Amino acid sequence: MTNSKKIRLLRLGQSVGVLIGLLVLAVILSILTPLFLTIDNLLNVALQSATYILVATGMTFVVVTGGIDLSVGSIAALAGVVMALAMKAGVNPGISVFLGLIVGIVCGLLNGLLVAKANLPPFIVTLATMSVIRGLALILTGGIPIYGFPAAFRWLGTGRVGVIPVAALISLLIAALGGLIFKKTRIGHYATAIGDNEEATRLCGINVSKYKALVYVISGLTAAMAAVIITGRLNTAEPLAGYMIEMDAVAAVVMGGTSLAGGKGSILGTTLGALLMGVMRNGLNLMSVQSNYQQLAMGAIILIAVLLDKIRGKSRA
Amino acid sequence: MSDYILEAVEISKSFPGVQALDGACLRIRTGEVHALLGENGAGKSTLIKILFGVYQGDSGKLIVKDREFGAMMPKLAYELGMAMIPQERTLVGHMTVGENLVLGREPRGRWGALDRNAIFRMADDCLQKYEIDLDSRVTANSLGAGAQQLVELVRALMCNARVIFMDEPTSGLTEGETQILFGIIERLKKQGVAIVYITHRLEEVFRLTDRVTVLRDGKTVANLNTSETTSAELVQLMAGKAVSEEKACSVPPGEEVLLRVTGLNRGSKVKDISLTVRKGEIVGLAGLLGSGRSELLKCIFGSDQIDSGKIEVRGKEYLIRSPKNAIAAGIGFLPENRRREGLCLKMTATDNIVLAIPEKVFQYGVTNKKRRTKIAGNSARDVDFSPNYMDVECGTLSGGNQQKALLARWLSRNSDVLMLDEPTNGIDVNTKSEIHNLIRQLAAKGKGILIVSSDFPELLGLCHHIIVLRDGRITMDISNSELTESELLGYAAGQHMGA
Amino acid sequence: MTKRVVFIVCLLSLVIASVYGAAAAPSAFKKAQADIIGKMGEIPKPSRAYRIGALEITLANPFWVTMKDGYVAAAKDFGFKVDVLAAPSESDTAGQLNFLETMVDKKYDALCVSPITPFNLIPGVEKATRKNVPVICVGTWLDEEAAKEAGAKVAALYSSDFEGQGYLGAKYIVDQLKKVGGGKVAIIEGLPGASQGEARKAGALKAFKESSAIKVVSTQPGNWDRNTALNITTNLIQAHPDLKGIFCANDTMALAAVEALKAVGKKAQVIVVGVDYIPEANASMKAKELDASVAQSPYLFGYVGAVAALKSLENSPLPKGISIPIALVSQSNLDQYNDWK
Repeated sequence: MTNSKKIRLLRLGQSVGVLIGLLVLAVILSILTPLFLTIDNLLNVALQSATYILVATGMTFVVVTGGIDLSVGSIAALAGVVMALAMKAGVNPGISVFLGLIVGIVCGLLNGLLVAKANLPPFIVTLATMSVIRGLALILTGGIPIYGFPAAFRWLGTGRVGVIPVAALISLLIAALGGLIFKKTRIGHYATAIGDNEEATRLCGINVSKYKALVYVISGLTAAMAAVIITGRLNTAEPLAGYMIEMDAVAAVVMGGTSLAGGKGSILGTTLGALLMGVMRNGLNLMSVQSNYQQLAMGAIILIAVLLDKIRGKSRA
Repeated sequence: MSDYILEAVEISKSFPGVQALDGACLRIRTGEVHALLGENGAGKSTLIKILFGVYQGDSGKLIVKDREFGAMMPKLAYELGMAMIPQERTLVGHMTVGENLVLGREPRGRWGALDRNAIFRMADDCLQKYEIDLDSRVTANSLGAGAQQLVELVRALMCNARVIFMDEPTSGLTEGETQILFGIIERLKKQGVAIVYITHRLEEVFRLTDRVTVLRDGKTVANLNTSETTSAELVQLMAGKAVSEEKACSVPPGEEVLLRVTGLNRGSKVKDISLTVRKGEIVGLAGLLGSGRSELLKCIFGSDQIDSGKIEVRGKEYLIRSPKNAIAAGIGFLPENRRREGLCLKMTATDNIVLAIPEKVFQYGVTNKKRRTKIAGNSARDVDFSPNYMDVECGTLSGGNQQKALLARWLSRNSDVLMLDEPTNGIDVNTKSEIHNLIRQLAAKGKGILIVSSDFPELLGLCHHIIVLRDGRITMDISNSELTESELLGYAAGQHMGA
Repeated sequence: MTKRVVFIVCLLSLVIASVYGAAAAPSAFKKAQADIIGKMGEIPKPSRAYRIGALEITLANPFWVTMKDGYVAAAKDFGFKVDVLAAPSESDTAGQLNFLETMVDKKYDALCVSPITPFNLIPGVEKATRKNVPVICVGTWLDEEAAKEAGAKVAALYSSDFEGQGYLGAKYIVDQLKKVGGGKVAIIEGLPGASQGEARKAGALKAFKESSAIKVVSTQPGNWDRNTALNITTNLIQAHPDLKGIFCANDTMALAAVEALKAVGKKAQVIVVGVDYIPEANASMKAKELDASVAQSPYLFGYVGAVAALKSLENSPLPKGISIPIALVSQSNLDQYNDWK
């Protein structure tokens, strides 16, 4: 096998690792409980993973620059609240969704400018905006959830195309689009380069600030998309929605092989990572494992995945 | 009791896909200065890591102070009196010299608190013992590179090191600091401390060392007394083949001025610099450490902002406020630290090469691997970069290949002017020569080249004319016809001022 | 001979002691349990092996753990199987919905649910309705209108009068403060939007408003969280140093309020009342710290809920309008409620 073919296989190895893990887990679960491998349940898994896939896709762009976005949960909440208020005021659902997406973009822009122009560390910036944005959502609603939206809107969260949940389709579509953008366009390439070596990238004449800010806009946008699904499914816009979803998103990103230090990433890996976590959660539910133990199990899975990845990385070097 | 304080006998080590060491041997006598030579990839650092217990060898044994070990642990190596002074500094910048010297073994006062007076007393005693003129109360950051290295050396000595490994110790040092270092090494010899001296600078080998070990392809190919060998022989042993002597550049430059810089100023680092680079010309920037050469290049490239001055490329004036402007004007730049500022180490060579030419790589905002490979491949061929390495992560490439990849980047950009900052730093003799030839070829093709180097033979071997910088100003601008190395050194150090 | 005498004496004393113990304090719980089971009507024998699923709000709070005991006891008493699960956290509405949808797929014969908010489980209940699985609401309920609109059917709802709980607890404070001519009081609410929290707050406000001598200076959401309530109380007593009473929508928050007051030495000045009567509350009242707690019977919630599920499966009529009993437990009548659960 030629050297370059060998190398190409090794790089595919990143995503293959998660895929194998996912398949192994699926096999184990189908043995442990006959309920896992039913069409109904698998569709359930796809539906329940949808929001995580969306948020994690956007998060991948941020993490690959060496940053992190802790505010995605809050952005989802605020976007959901704005959409809800608009629909309650009689605005057409399509436009309301559009407004929600704008909220995601604006919040992302805020994060992006603070990180790229003011040069503040992403962890601190998004930790702060996490509270600010969540606070806005609480203020706008007075703390009380908003209930009851038009059928056309709810269809996005609960509808089905045939048997397949619309939400699952949307999430996979966005993931696929995200993957293409990541691999084939400037933002994907430059975000990766910036995470790898920001100074070298700058010395190649690339506008580093622009791309550093742009990834947070992408993250905010996907968070707003997740809000559409969360709100549609629950038929409620809660100011506390999406609480801690950023942790699950980062976990999916890391499990998918993207390094938190930046410079290497894969949307495919992230999607598989999110699915793996969804399958795990679903499996634990099916086996009636108590919530407290579920927390333990989820954390353990993530640790194991990250350790395995480290070992794999070492032997490659 | 044997003559040898440290012996590595028949050490072998393999990693997946590569045999790093194959029965390598190294024997160090007490109180000698022993050079360890070898090209990049010959196995030097693997051998040292095994000696210090960072890796475990597959086979072979280590003998330290007449005790045999199958494997080593870092703590044990330290206790046995082995110390390592790496190429990059490892001091804690904001702590004082004294605190750095006793780091980890701080003297405690009553109730376990640190006894600051004792710290400085211990430090001063040691500095005096080795006749080193440093104030133990200044912070490490305030010292120059040479002084910092002396601090690391003293720290090793305070731990009763009997064998000290020094990796490229004179890189980054001024001439004065180098002399001080050599003096200390002589003194240590007299006190029975052995030094293993790892370097690419052969003139230092002949100046300092008693014996030489040469590694090639993981094997020890020679173990000689320094007095019984020559530079040419050593080079041949390292490379495995004879390397021809380099000839000075013979193709004369053209008439057209590619780069003209007038009255460039930036703070106290760059003062009123004016220079020109013609088509096909190689201009060298010489000077001691801190003379402002790298700062000058960064100003021309737009990486740092200038206070005043004019930059013209091909007769047209450009306002250069960022690298983007400089690149658009046709200037390319190879920074001094290729790992930290030049390459994206996790990306492939292909992607690194095309990083500066988005217009060719992205069509309607989209790119594909085939296009990138094709564009990169063309430039890679021009610099003799092996196609086998195109898809390899740049972090794993050797220094020489990394530098070639960087050159390819600016070639695919078709930059008219190339600015190279220490292009052969840390590169073995063979590849160095390759890169020199590449530079000559590029000049012959009509590029204008501005090269900063601390390696005087390199400048003398390559450049059409040489500009000497001192404290941010140009002191000499001479054509390289009959210049000798000592003359050049003299200009750089500030002698013959106004000549 | 002597051995036998000693043995008989011991046995006799044991009998006397137990009789005495039993007669010493009447068990309010036993009375309440017998009462409500009577109201449930005939309880049929299961015609086959039933599996019933119960979805609570959380198992990290003793209240809900006791409810689980009730489900399990009923299953044992009447011969069916029950699985009791809970959402990942008290505020994870989407998580609870996910659990419910998975439970429907697990093909339980009937489901007992306690939704976190009136709306979050509606899609799941609709799914159950579609698959002809009867659903009983226990403790908290679904919003009627929204459920009807979505096609989510609930066979029955068994809950307590939450507003009554709030009223009862706050009334205790009002009565106690009558002796000193009234004063300032505050309310620490539950999770905004959660049904039982909102109802208790409404009931408490009603009781407080009945007395002109009582002034409500603040009502804030404690989110059922100990830490939040601790901080709120610390700030309250700072802002109103002459505060006389705090009604908390549950015991975990009330106990935190007690700690906060103890820390500044003002516990004696402020009456603190909680809701749920968890074992920790009992201990605190024994130690003369917490003043009172409104007991509802989580055990009976679960017990009755499971019984109702069985009845619905056997097509036995489900009585409507039954309320799980509540009572005010204070430091004075503590011994009647020692076995309350």
